[in-house]
Amino acid sequence: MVYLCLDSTPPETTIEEGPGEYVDTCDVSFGWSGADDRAPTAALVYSYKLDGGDWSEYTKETTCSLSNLKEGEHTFYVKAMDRMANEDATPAERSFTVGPPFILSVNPPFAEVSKGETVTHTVRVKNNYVPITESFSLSAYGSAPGWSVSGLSASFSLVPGGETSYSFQVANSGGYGDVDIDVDLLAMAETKSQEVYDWSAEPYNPYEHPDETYEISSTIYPTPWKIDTESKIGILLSGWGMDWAIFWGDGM
Amino acid sequence: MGHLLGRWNVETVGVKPDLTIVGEPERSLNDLDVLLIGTGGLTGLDNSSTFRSKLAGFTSQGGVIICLTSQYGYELNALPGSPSGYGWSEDQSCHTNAVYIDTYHPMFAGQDSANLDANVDGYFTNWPDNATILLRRTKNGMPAMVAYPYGLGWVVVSTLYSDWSYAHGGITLDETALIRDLISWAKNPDREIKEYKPSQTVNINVPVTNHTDTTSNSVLLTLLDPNKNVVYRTEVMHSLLPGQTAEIPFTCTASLPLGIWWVNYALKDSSGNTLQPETQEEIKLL
Repeated sequence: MVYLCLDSTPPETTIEEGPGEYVDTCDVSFGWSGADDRAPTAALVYSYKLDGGDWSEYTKETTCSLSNLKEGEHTFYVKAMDRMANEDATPAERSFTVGPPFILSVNPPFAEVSKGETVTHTVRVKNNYVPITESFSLSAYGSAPGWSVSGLSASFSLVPGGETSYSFQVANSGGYGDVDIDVDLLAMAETKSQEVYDWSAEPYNPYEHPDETYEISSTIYPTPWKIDTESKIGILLSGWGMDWAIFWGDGM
Repeated sequence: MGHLLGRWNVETVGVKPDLTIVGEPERSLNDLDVLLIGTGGLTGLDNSSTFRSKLAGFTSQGGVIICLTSQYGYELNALPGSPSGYGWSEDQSCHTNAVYIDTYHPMFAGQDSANLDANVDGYFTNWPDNATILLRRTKNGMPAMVAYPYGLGWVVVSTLYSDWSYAHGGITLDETALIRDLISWAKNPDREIKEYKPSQTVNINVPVTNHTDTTSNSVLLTLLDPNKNVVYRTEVMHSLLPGQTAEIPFTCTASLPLGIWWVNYALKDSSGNTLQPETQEEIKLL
């Protein structure tokens, strides 16, 4: 008499090793195992995929390495199959985030600056995992009437894991409103920017300065803007270069 | 734009997008002679019927609008007369020999050539029938600056982006002189501007009025070049009663630089003190 044993139960898959929720690398490895109610573990085969990609061919391998992953969120899936071709219908999965290849941070954070005050900001650049020694170019600039931003321009190389820092100063010599500051880092043929701003502690109230004539200076313009509230020539505070119009302080 | 005009000590006032005057709640748009709209200034405002109607009202009553280029040509529709064309996102910018003068106008007083180096991006495809084409693009002959009367006022619209180029160190000498003389003209577009060539003798009568309640003793005449540098001062003994007007002869030799020159006057009392501060009254063109 022959007993025919029908196996219709799929195996279960478990991820044993892999990255945590966040990694500062673009290379990750996974290890997994499978369990079946009838088939020995050694008889199981596995297939895996990353994100919405294609499933790999079934093999007995229980590890894999993925390299050159892009920055951002990813999910790894792996499923086991037994000899009766029962596939794990609920593949094991692990989500993780690959951090940026290089980090740009500014400290202290941009904040309020009082009139007459100068703040020194430090820009930190770290090469997280770019596999070759990468050349970086860092710049910072900003402009608004009554503000000055000491230009920052630097070029340097960083090995993977290496970091460096540079400083620049923002001075409020009577600015109203905010000063937009662009911190740009160019590496790997891409630019990483932080557009941030410091703002004045003393918003300008034009109603406290009737019939006033005064000048607004800016680092990017060779000559100051001469303001006379009784002038017969008006300039529409809209369009390019007019972002600072809020400096006028009356909620426009 | 304000910084560029500051180069010639031209004082301006901010106008908010709702077309009220910054810092002067009692003043309205119609109190201005000139409204400057810089590069991209119409973006986001072109769909506002209130904005459009206020601009139309401003020019109808004698105001002058000067508008630089826009990102998209349709934004220029917001201007009185509804010109349109292509903006900087729809064209290739040009610089050297980018435009040429089509029709002469006093705003070209400072130009020494019909071809101008200028930062220009965009051109017009539609403009009012009564418009004068002032500048054309060298590359395709399409208008890059047009001017037309609207009501009692004027609209001068161009695809120049001189405010941006001034900030980025790219403004040209031709362009600088054009903006300078354009503003000089726009302050009073109906004023006659006499033309003189360098080395010609200039004989003009400067109209002066004593706006004070005191009799003045003399008139101090000041000649300024187009860049508002004082070139010459002379004091003419001429008494004026309060409210009285007179014409004071003024003679000089026309000189360089090219552009719209100014003759200002001030009134002094018998002690030599300034009774009435310097006023722009007469201009002449070289």
